[in-house]
Order: sequence, then structure tokens, then C-alpha cells
Amino acid sequence: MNNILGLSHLVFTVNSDKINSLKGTLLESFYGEGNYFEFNHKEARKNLIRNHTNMLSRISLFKPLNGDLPAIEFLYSESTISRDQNSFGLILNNFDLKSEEFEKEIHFGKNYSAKILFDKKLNLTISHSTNLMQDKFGCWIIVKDFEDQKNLLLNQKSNKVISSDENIIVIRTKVLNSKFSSFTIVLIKSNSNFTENYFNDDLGLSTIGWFQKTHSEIKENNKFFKTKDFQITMFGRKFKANFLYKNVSISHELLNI
Amino acid sequence: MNKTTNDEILEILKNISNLPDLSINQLLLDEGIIDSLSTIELISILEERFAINIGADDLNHFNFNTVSAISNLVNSK
Repeated sequence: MNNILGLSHLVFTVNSDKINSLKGTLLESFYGEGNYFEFNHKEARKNLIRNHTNMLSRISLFKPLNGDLPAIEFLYSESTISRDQNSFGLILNNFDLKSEEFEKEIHFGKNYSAKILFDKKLNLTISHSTNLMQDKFGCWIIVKDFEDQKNLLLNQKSNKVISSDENIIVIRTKVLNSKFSSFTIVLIKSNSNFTENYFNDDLGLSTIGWFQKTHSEIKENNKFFKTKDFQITMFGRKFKANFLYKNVSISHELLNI
Repeated sequence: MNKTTNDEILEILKNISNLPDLSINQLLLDEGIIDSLSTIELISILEERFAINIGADDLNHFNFNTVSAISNLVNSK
């Protein structure tokens, strides 16, 4: 059991130009203004990206307005390969989301479904009604490496299993925001429609960020590779960080306190 | 003992928040005095200063919203 303290942020890789503001998007009422950062983490990132033109990390970071969501990052990429639009998404359960887009309903196996809206600007699917989970805030991720991702999440003290079967596991984690709020991660085993492997610079939900204690940091194992450490300075604070990655579905960014 | 811990924690928080006039009665999270990154920094400093271990189960709004609550958490370790 590792000693991850909780969730820090979600990273969505996008083709867009800089996203400075979420005004006019489905996330407008949930996040404040963006902050743009550039990091040169070439040595750490070189093995988890597909296209070396994306070596420099260019991100826009948004903090939650009410302290009840994880921060979100948009990572800019020139990749033309995209995770399936419905294979990941944010869940903002029972919120009245205003959109000019048509609402659709997607299904996960026989028993689960979600009413979704697609935000074109953010290239992001958002559900405001689903039976995948009961909590207010969460996300779903369909992954090929279900067992490895599941075991990684289950090995964190801050995560609690809400429900699970052979194809879906629902995990409640703690967000290290100003409310220490809950966030639910619904991990779904992919079917044969999703055969592509995805890198960090491929479009879509590419990374989950966590805070962990340096003295209990996760070691590389035979399921995930670990990058070299790199330094992040944000808002005057420095963190040592690294990635756990497989280049199959999503990677995990570990920020050491 | 508790007062000393309160004072020490208040000093730490003044440094983290850059608010030299921070008072002991202020609601740290509710008033936005500390945010997620400063809370992480606070945890790191508390662990080192008081030689304690703060785990995921300790992280909640109640334990970190006031100087007294943080002090109680530290003293309970």
C-alpha cells in the first residue's frame, strides 16, 4: 500500500490554441481563470510521448472555483491521434449544464448509461446524469489495461471502492483541494472497439495527477514504468515529480510533497 | 503545550500565506487563506517540524480549517 495523499489534477491533452478562459464552455461555472505554464521536462517526458514535437510541456491550469473539484490541466499537443470521444469524460451529476449541443445517451454494457453533452471547445464529454455513480463529481475512463490501472488505484490508501464487477470499478478518492472533497473515478474495461495504445500527447484524458509523500513514493514495477524526476514550480511552490506510465491508456503524475 | 503549538502553527501559516497579520481565529480554508498547494506545503512542514506522520485519513476540512484544529491534530500524533 503506497501513501498517496489524494488527487491533485486531471490532464486533458488537446489540439487547441491556448485556452485562457472557460467562459462559454460547460465548465464555466466550475473553474476560474486559467494560468499558462511551460515546462521543459524533455528528459522525463521523452518516453511517454508519441510525437517529439510535443516534448515541451505547455499547459493551461484551472483551479476549481468552489474548491470542490480537482484542478484541470489542458496539455497542448500536435498529435492527430485521439482517444475515443466517449471513452472518457467528466461527471457533474445533477447539474443543469447549459449547452447548444444535443444531449446524447451512451451505454456502458447492459446496466450503465450516461446522458452526455460534448464541449467542442474543450474536446470534452461531460455527463450530468448517469447511474455509473451516485456522487456529485467524478469521471469515467475506459481503459485497455483495466487490471493494472485498477490495481494501481486500489493500492492507494486514499481510495475507497464503492462497487466493482469484472468490467467496472467505482472508486472514491479524496481531492487535495480546499474542501478535501470526494471525487469518483469509474474505471471501465474496454471492449474490442478500443485497440489503440495511447500516449501522453494523444488527445483526451491522458493523466491523473496525485500528491504523494516523497518518503513513500511509488516504485517502478513490472506494470508501470517510472520517468526520471523533474521539478515543477507553480504559484511559487516547487515540487519534485515523475510519471508512472505504460503508454497504453492513461499515465499518472506523482507530485511529491 | 497547546498554546505553544498554536503559536508555532500560526507562525508557519503566516509564512506560507504571506499574511503577517493572520490571527488565530481565522477560518483558513473557508476564508481562502490557504489553498490546496499551501495545504500541501503546510503538511510537509508540520511533519518535519513536529516529527509526525500525517496520512490520507487525517486530511479533512475539520482538521485544517483553524489553527486550533491543526494544533489538535499535531498533538494527537
